[in-house]
Amino acid sequence: MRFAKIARRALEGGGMEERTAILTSAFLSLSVLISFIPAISFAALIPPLLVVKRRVFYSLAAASPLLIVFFLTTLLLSGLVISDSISDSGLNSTLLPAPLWAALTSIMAVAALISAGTLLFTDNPSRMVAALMFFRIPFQAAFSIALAMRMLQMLMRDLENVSAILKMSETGLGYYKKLLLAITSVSVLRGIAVAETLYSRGFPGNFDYPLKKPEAREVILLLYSFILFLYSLNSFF
Amino acid sequence: MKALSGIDFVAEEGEKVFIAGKTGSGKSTLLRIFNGLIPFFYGGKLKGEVNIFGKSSEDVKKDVFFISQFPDEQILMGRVRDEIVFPLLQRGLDFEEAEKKALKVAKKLGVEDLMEKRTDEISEGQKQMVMLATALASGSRAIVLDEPFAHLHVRRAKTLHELLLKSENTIIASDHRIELSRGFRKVSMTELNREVNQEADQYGEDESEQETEFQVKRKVSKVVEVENLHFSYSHSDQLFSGLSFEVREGMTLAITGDNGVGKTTLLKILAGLLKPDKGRVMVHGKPSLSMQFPNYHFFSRSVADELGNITIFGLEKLAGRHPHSLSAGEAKRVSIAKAFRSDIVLLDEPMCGQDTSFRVQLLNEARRRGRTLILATHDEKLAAMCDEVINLDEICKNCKKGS
Repeated sequence: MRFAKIARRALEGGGMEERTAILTSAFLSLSVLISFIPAISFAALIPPLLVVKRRVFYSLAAASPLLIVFFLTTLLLSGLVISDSISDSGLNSTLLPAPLWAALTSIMAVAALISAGTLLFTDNPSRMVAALMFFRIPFQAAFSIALAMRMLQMLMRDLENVSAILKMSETGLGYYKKLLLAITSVSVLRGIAVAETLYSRGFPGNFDYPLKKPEAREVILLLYSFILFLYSLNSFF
Repeated sequence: MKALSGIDFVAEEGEKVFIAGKTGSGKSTLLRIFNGLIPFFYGGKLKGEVNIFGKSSEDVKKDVFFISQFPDEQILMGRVRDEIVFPLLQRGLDFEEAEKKALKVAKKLGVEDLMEKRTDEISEGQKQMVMLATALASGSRAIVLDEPFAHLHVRRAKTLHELLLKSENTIIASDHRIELSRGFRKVSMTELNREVNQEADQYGEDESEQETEFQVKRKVSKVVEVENLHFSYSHSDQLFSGLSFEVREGMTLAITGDNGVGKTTLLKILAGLLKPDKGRVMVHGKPSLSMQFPNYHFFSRSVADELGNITIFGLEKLAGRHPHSLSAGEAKRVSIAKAFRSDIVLLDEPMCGQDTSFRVQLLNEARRRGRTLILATHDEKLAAMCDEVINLDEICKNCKKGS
C-alpha cells in the first residue's frame, strides 16, 4: 500500500538533537497557531525542510487526505472561519477570492504544523525518552510516546502486508471493508502483545540514557524558531 | 475452556528444560504461567500452587525473562543496541556498563553487526536473535522461551542452543525442532497435560515421522520463471544480483539461507508484491502467499468462514473458533490452508509452531492437490523432502558485496 510506505518513510526520523527538536517544534507550532499568518506558516516550514529534508514531503503526502478534506471544508465554510488575523495582518490577497484565500491560509498552517511535528520523528527514540525526561516528563509518559512511534512503524508495515495480501484476492469495496477489519484486529493483537511485553519486563524500572550535545546548526534553528515565536506573539497582541 | 489440568512440573535452578508437544497442546499457556502472565495479565482461573524462586509468579518479573513466538511484538526500542541495553538500564545499571555487557552478549551470539541497526529494518530471524541477546544480557535468573529456534537458520539455532546450554540461567524452552533438545531435560507436553490433550487430541497426529505418500509427478509446464533478478531495498545492500531459476507445475521448492538473506523478499517478489529492480519474473497462475505472521490473513469471524469448503490439515475441528483466538501454531496452519486455495502456494516459514509430522502432511497435501509449493524455511528436514532447494547463501555469496 503506497500510503503506508510513504508514512513509514516519513517516520524514519530526522536526527536532530532531541531536546532542541522538542523546543524548536513547540516554538514553530505555537507561532503558527498564535498568528495564523501565511508568511509565518511559510517561515515555520524552513527548519523542518533543513533538518528532516525530503521526509517533510513524505509526511505531507501521507497527510494529503487530511489536507484535502481540510482545504475543502475551509473553502465551503470560509464565510464562518475567515480569521480576523488574516485581514489584520494585511497579508490577505486581493487577487484571490476570499474563500480560496482562507482555504489556502488554513492548509498552509496545517502543513506547517505537520512539518514542525516531523522534527520529533527522531532516529533514536530512546534519546527522545531521555529528552522528554530532561523536561521533567515522567518516564512512563515519555516512554509511551517513544513506544507509540515504534508501534506506528510496526502498524504501517502491518498495513502494507495486510493490504498486499488482500490485493491478491479482493477488489473494490470488499477490499476496503476487509482491510479495515483486518488492520483493526491486527492492531488490537499487537497492542495486547506489546502490553504483555511491558508487563513481563517489569515496566517501568529505571532509565538513565545519555543525551548528545546539540550542534551549532541546531541551536541556530532553535533561535530562529524562538524569534519566529516572539514575532507571532507580537502580531497576536 | 480448560487449557491445562493436573500439571506437575519442577525445574531446578540452572536446569535446562525442553518442553515438546503438539500444536495446541498448551505449551505457550504453561510458559506464560511461569512469569505470571497467566493469570495476572491475561486472567483465567488457576488452581494449585505456582512457586518461582520461592515467590508467587506475580513477583518474578525481574527473575524470569519471557520471550514469545513473535519477536516483533517484544521489541520496544528503535535501535538494536537500545533494545539489548534496556532491561539493564531498568535494573539501574549505568549506560556505559550496560552497553559493554550488551556488546559482549551480542558478540557471543554473532549479532554485533546489528547493534547500530534500526529494529524495524532487520529480519524476523534477526529480531529473534536480538531478543535472545536481550534475555541473556538482562541478568534474569531464568529465561523462558516460546519457540526460540522457529525463525532461526540452522547454524544460528545451533549457536544459540550451545549458548543456552552453557548459560548459568535456568532455561525453559518450548520448540518443535526436537533435534535441538539435546542436552536439555525433555518434557512431553502430551504427557504433562495428559488430561486435556486426551480430551482434545486436536489433530490426531502421530509425532513420529511419516513417509510422504505421493510421488512427484514431474510436469513440463513452467509456472514460475525468474531470470537475472536484481533487487535491493532503498536502505540496504543489493539482496539479489542476477538470480535465475524456474519452477515447474506441481513441484515443491524450498528456499533456504541465513536470516536476512532475502527469503521472504523473494517470496514477495514471486507474489507480485515487490517489483524487481531488474530482470524478469513470470508467474503463470494465481499465487497465494502465507506470511510469517498468520493473523494478517484473517478477515472472517470463524475458521470455517476463512477456509470455505477446504478440509485440510484436520482443521475442521477448529471450524467454529474465531481465527484470532487460535494458538500461534493453529493460526499458522489456518493461514497455510487458506493459501492452498490457489494453484501456486507460497509459504513463509510454514513449520513455525508446527509439530514434526506437519512436514509430511504439508507436502502430501500439495502433491495430492497438484499445487506448486514454494516455501521459505529454516527447517532442513522439510527442505530435504522438497523436490528442489535453492540455497540463497550459496547463490547470493557475492550479492551483498553489490557485484
